[in-house]
Amino acid sequence: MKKTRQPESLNRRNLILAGGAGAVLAGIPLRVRAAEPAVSPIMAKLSAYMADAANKPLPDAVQEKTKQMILDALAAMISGSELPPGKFAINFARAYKGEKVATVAASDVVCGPIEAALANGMLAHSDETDDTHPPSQSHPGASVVPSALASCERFGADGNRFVRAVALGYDIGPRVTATLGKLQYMVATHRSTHSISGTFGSAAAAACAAGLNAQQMRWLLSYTAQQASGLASWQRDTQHIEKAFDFGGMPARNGITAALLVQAGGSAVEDILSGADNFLDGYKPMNDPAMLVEALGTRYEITRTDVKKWTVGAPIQAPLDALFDLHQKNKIDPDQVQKITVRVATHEADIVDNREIPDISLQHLMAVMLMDKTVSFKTAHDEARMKDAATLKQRAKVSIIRDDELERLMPKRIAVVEVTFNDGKVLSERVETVRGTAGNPMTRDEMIEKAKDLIVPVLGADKFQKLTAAIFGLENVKNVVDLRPLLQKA
Amino acid sequence: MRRNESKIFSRRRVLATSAALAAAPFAARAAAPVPSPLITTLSSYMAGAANRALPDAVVEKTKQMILDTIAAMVSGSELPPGKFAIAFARGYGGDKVSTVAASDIVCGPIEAAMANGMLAHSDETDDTHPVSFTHPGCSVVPSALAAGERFGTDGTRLIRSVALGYDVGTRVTATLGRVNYAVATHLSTHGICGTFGSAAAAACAAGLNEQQMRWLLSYTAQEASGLYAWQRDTQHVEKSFDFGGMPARNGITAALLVQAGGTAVDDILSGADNFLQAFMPMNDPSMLVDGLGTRYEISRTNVKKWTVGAPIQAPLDAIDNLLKENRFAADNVKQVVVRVATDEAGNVNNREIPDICLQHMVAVMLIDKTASFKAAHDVPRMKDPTVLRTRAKVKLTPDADLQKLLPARVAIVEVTLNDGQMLTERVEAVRGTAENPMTREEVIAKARDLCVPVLGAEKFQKLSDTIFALENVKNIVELRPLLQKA
Repeated sequence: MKKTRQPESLNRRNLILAGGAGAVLAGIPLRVRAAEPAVSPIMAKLSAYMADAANKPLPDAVQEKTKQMILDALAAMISGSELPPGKFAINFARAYKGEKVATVAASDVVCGPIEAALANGMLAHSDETDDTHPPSQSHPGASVVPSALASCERFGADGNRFVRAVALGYDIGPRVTATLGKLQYMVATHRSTHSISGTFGSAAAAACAAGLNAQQMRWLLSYTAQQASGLASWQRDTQHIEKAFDFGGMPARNGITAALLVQAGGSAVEDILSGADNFLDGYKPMNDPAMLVEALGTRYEITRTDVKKWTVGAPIQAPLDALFDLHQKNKIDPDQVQKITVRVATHEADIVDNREIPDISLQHLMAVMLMDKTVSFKTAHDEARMKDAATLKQRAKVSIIRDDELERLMPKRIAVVEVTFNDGKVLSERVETVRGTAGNPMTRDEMIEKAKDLIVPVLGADKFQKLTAAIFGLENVKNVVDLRPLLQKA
Repeated sequence: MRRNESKIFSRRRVLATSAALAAAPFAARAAAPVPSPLITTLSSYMAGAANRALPDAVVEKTKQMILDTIAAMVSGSELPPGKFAIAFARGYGGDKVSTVAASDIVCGPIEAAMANGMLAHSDETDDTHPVSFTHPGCSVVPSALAAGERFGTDGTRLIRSVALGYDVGTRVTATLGRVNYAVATHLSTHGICGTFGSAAAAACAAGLNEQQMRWLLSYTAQEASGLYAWQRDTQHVEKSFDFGGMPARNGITAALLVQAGGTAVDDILSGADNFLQAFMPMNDPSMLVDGLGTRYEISRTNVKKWTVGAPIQAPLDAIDNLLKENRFAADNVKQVVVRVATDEAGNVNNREIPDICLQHMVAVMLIDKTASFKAAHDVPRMKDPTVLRTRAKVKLTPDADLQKLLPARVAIVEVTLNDGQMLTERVEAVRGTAENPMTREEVIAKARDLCVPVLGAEKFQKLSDTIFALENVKNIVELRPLLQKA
């Protein structure tokens, strides 16, 4: 009971994660925040032992045996250099070596494609502003795009190829974890759909950029299946660094590595989806494996992907949509507002009721929306504003109502917002589908608006403008490397 | 049935070696198997994607998602995980810090660990640890080496790192349930053990503290992967990644992340969705720490003295022993009868490539008085008339009594000389196994056989001397010139 509940509720929102990010933003050192959780006796013993190992002498016989084993391994390596796998490994490292081929966004770092994919993947899931794909319980963009980008740079692919690579990534990765059984699978097996989907999606995307053929794609899937990993324990990560690795960095790294290996000539098991010890044997999907290829080429999973319009906790999104809509349709003077009531599902309310950090505090953010007529990324992370007198004055007018009717409609997150004015007038708005979800998609202009809010503070307006133009004109980009100056800062 | 198949494959490396030695192009060799309709559909779709136009709406949506993700990346750069990621990439960057053996390559530690891991499992000359059903050395040593170079550790630390790697990695898959676990779950004990072992080794080199070690284990558990399907890899390239490259890469990455300041879940062995819940060990989890600091798993690791199929090892040991006690030439031999367990005999009976052909390798042993790495891989020599003449005298007898003694691979060799004298030798435990360990000199001799053809005798000598005096090595980067060739 408890077990099924916990991941679900954690997953719906970004509670602890957002809390962690908030803590970090508050400037509290990581070390202090992560201290003193209860540790099991086994873990205590193991980690203590491991930590001590660096400074503890070994018995003589072990010392001797270890040297022998080092020599033995070196000998295997050296002699292996003349066999096909060894030659392959050296060629791989040679081709890969320190070459500065791939961009790390928002920096001046240009490095190898694997690290670039890893770093960009972590960047993409640094917060929770990245996309989600509910039918597969995954965040495809955070790993697929970094992997596609790095691979396209590596192979000098053009803008069209970049687009196709990304779409393929969304089509493959999410189908894998949709077949496994999405959220229920994660709950039952304790495995992370996010990293499994991301690993397959990133591999497909990078492989598309590399131009692999069908046999190579089969080999790719074998390297990919070997790397498919991840535990649902990411839910317990409080600092979001591991989570950024689990959702973005690791799957992107896994995927691009598989693609680079095959592109460099690596062969592998021919069909990892059938035969002895295949991926399906190992991972035991809850659904018919035919789902892996269902509607390929007709149902593009990227179109079923949700965008987060407001970079705030999930239960606050529909209420912000409602008040935003009311602003669009009416002239609202905050000082003429007497009270605002917000109805959301009962459990959702618990998560966001007067919380301590801005992006998960419903009352605070409704006050901000009332005053600013929008909620920016910056505001959602502005702790100081929570003490601002003008904001507090508006916040006092906001009340939250736990609504059992709406609870029954979950997982649809419906909100009803009522604004009562000093003159007695009442405006009401009910939001059935959160803006940005597949059922209520944002327009291109809204997407640009969101991106602007996120990018301009870092790269400036000029660069943002050019970047947007380049992305929407990707057909005209001859080499994805051309994006580099638009993605980086000096 | 399934179990039998896996046993056979793990004992030897049949197809892998044959394909590699025949030097045929990879693509041509791997052609035969028939892919299922499922993967055919999937892979052809994937392959076609590069040149297939998407519907306009999809193109539009894709651009939006690219922009959206870039926006997440760019804005994320000012949040702690993003700052961390950039710092990680910067520190890692094109830095030339770690050695790729038997080459002139110096590169980042992750690629170096991966490349060296694949090198170490290019053949099957690397070590095995039966209690955990793993090959610890081929990932632990590369990871320890690359991390040691990265952090400028001394020789003593390298030794401790490696030993720790063996101690941690093998305990994980011993706890899971070794070969029985692989058979039941289809997961690869080799990938899992190597990942944990490499992480522990690199973390030791990096000098992580206790809390950091816990974080390390969380990153490591997130990366733990691998399918038992490696048995079906015919070219050995993927297998070298599965056994060596991937685990070494996983492990060192975890260590570098934590060393660079990465935090993680504090106890991945308990609490919600922990490693044990997901991987469901067959044994009591307390085995993970059983005998730590007293039972060193590296001591229970087997070295392959002869780089030939496992069932041929005891017979070669027997002849080696006979040759030490008696002087006889191949021409003086009238007949050799080799008895091994019935199943074992089936695997090595007159096979088509040298290192898994018992009759051929016994003939080589009689002629050369040893069986070198080169001889074990010398295909043309199988047609040499001298060898064929001796080989004709070798008789392989499957023995049902020895079959009952498996997994101990006992061999009985009877040599009848032309003068009627009969020499008999029974080998109870293969030389190089934990029960019958090789001496330092034997290990050096094996290494010499493997290294000298690549690095030359002088370099090998220095390398060997340096390894055995690692306590005097102040910075293991000093090993680089000894490991590389121009």
